[in-house]
Amino acid sequence: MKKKIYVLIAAALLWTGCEKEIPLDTDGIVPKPVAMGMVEEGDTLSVRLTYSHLIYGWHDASDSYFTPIDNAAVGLTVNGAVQGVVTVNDSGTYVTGYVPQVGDKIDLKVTVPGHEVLTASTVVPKKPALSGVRVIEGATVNGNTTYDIRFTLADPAGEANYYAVRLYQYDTAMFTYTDGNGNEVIDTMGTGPELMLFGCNDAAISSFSVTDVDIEGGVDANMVELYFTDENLDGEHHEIRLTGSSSTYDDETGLTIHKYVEVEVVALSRDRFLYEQSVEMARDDGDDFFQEPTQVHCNVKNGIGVFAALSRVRFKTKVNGN
Amino acid sequence: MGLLLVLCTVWLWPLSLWGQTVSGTVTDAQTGETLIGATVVDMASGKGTVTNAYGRYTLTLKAASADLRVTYIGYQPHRQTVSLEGNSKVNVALEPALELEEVTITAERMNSPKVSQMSAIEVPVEQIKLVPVMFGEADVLKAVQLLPGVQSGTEGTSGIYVRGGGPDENLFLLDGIPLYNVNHLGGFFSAFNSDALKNVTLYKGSFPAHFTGRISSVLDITTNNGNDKEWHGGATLGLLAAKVSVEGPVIKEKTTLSLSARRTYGDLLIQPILMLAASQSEGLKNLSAGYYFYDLNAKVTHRFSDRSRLYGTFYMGDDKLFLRAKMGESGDDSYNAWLKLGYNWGNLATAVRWNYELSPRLFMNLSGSYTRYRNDLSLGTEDEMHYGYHMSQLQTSKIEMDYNSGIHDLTARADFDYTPAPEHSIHFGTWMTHHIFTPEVLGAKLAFSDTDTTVSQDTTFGQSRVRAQEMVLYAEDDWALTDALKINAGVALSGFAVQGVFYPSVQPRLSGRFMVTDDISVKAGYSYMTQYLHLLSSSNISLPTDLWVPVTARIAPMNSRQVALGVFYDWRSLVNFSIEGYYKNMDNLMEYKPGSSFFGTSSNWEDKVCLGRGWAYGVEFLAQKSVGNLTGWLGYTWSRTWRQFDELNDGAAFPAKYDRIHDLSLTLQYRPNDRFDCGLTWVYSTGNTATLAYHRFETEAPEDVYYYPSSAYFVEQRNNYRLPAYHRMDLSFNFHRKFTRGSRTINVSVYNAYNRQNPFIIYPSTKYYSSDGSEYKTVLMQRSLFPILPSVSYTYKF
Repeated sequence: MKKKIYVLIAAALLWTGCEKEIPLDTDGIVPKPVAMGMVEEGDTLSVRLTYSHLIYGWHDASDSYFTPIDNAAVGLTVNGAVQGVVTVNDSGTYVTGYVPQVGDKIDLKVTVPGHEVLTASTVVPKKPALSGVRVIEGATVNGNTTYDIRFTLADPAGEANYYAVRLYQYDTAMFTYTDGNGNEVIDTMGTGPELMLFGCNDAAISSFSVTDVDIEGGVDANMVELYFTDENLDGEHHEIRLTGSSSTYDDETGLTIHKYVEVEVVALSRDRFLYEQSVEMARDDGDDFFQEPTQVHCNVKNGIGVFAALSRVRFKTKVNGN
Repeated sequence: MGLLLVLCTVWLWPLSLWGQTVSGTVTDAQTGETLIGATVVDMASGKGTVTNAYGRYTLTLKAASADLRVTYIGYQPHRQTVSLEGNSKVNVALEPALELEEVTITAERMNSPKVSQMSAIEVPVEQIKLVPVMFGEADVLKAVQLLPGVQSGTEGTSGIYVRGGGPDENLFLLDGIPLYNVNHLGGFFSAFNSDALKNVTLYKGSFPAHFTGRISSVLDITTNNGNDKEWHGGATLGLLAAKVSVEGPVIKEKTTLSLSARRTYGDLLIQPILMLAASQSEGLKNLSAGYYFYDLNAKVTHRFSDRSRLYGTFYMGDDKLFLRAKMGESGDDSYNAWLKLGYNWGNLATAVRWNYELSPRLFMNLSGSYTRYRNDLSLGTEDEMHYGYHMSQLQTSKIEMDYNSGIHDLTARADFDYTPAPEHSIHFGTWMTHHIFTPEVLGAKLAFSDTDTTVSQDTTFGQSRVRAQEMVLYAEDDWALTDALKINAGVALSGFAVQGVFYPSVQPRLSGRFMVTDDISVKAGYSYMTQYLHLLSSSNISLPTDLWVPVTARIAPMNSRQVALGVFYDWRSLVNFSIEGYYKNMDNLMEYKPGSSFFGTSSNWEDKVCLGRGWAYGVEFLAQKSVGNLTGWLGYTWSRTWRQFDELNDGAAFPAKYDRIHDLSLTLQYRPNDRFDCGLTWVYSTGNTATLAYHRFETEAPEDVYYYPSSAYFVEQRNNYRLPAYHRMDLSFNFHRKFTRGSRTINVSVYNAYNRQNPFIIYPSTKYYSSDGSEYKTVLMQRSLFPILPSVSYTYKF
């Protein structure tokens, strides 16, 4: 036993003896201003400012992980017209009264004392042109009901477009009961919206997806978001076919269930698309030893963060159309 | 091919009317081994040539007689007057120079000022054997890493990065057969057994037209034919591996055989320890695990006549990693479980070549070869449970997963050397390869059985096979325009047919040498190269998990264009100096996309990669001394290497992983007498680049989406951090002793003699300075791989 211990100690010394700290010059490295501006058509224009957190060096309990910046001068210009910042709240969010519209070119200029001026710009993309939404209920397998969901996306020709798709599920149960007066009352009870899991086998539109469950063997419905570009469908009226999946209701006598599915298609600016893609990859970092490192996409010059736009359409339809 | 012969004959016919031809073979007088690169000069006219890869030369002269002088480093010069009445055959057997004699023999080596070839270095095999290396195992790739313009990969590995190229851009030819994975033990040893080597030449640029298929370098390795006069052999026992070699005449001076084999034996030594560990562990009934590699080189040569020879080459090398464990309670057989892991990877290569002298001026080499590279991983578990009354019921379950990747190549090739006049040395030929790629296949088997239930499933994922045809037609002329000016001009036409797509390529090559004085020359060269293969490499280590994948309908071939200019100086035939500058650009380089992984075949590999471009430039200095008691070389490279991919680093250019600005290597071998010699190697290079995040920032999630990270690392630029400089010194000492029948050598080597801790990996680490964890410091740590490593080996030769 003693011999084993000696061998273990020797091996441990040899291995740990090969480990040492590398001097890292972090003198010139200070927290950077981070500007996160998720501009959305129809929503109030705002931007949130925080400081980044330095990874290397001394830290103590008094460190706030991401300190809000409340002393910045924020300039937001829409199509050349300066928008006044109305509110600055505790979380470092700077809000204007302006509601962005499709086609707006919005420039951001942030001056934080002690730092270079941050700049970024974005253009609010056109709303996706969606038509022909229909949802057909399919088979029920192992307590899950599948749905064949189809819609047509008309992609503008000659320009690079970026999209995201989400599905929401609504269920409305109609039931009858007798009230205190002995009257029979018809009432409804609704659930949703809830994100619906779905799958997509269309090679033309698959780019990357946000998955909820990882099941080996190619399960058809494990996405909650699907992102894609128009690289393979530029200028087309492309029918997109998805396979949705949700838990099946246990039938109860007296219940009439009406099912609705809402299709949400989002048009993203390029920066927003790249940001979402890289953040999704970063989420998986470390799970796989062989995985390549990711770099979260930023477009804020002289700082960190993303200032990017989107516009969305939603179309709610009843399952089986009845 | 017939058309090619006719065209060349018509084109070159006028030249062939010129003069008389003297031809023959230059061999070692003691062993009969042919000598590659020996110089044959007619002292009267000053015309000369060098022997080819088969030791053969042809010299066409316009005179009644020739005064031939034949020289080769390490051999006594041979001089002979030949009457040139018609074509003459002169075979020359050179006697080895006496040891310790101050040898001042010159030869037109690849790095000599006189040859038109530039960016090529011939490394004498004896020097390779004397270069001190890890565990005393002489290694050709480790020696090549010490040359200017060549970068090594991760510490201790055999991967080479030539003039900004990747590890997959090097063509490794073993007797003309391409090998794919040339590493053992994760890259710590190369697949080439030094006992089998005869000649090693590295081409970094200005590639002759007969080399195609890779864009950054060619390492042309020729193995021993074998002694045709008497049998010799040897055996080496080292700390990690044992080697044996034997060579001799099967039919004296007609048929020779050369055999060498090597195997590591750590797996054999560790088994008793594992059995002991298993016997003392609860829940473990049996344990067997280990790793070993082996390689086998065999070569048969038969001489039908002076004009006709047949060569058979065989190489096989495999790495095997295995684990077998049986679990369960000792003395209780009601439950048993097995865990099995097997990982095999390696090459098999075989070729048959036939040399035939069609005429004194026209030499032909026909060959057929087969290469196979495989990479097979298998992982499985098995459970067996007895239960019920008298344990009569049995439940079993079995899960097996197999991951396979590989390449099969079948090649037919015809090469011709034609020497119509002393000013021209023409090479032309053609070859065709049928490739079968298996980029990645994952198989899964599940089986469950109980008393009344049996369930099984067998599924295969991934791309099964890709078939492709690669064809090449080439011609080149080494043309002496004047005594001072010599050029090598050629072109290779290649094509690759895959998945219904054909990729043609016209690859011009041009290099030239101008003699400024007898000792100094200026050389320049241009080459265009195309490569139809990619290596998907997911790690800094040359892992066997790297996948060789072909160009496909979606993935275009890689191309490189390189220009080089250099000055070469031969100082008193003792030391060659050279300084070369180069610029190279490459396109369609392949990288994994961010976040991709080689593992998991749910998507095709083509979806996981992106293509980009690269460029590299630098200046290389080499001083090489190959004669005398003290030999070696000093190499220094200043270089930069860049990459640009639209999908990486936001499309901005970034320095490559192995962008080392300064790279210096000193290699010395000292042989004061025939009983002792020693070697020293010292290397210094700028550290590798690495991607380091200094900041973390808060992210913003889209509404309704769960599992969104609240923060992310901010990386300003890919490869934005440079690791500490790498330097290391290795030493070796050889003690020789001769016996009546044979000799022995004891080798003592010290790797990393001053115990430098070079970074292997870096990672952040948090150190806490208060008991409640509120005060802490995050630092950057490095882990080194190899401390000082002494080793000893014993060799006996007869």
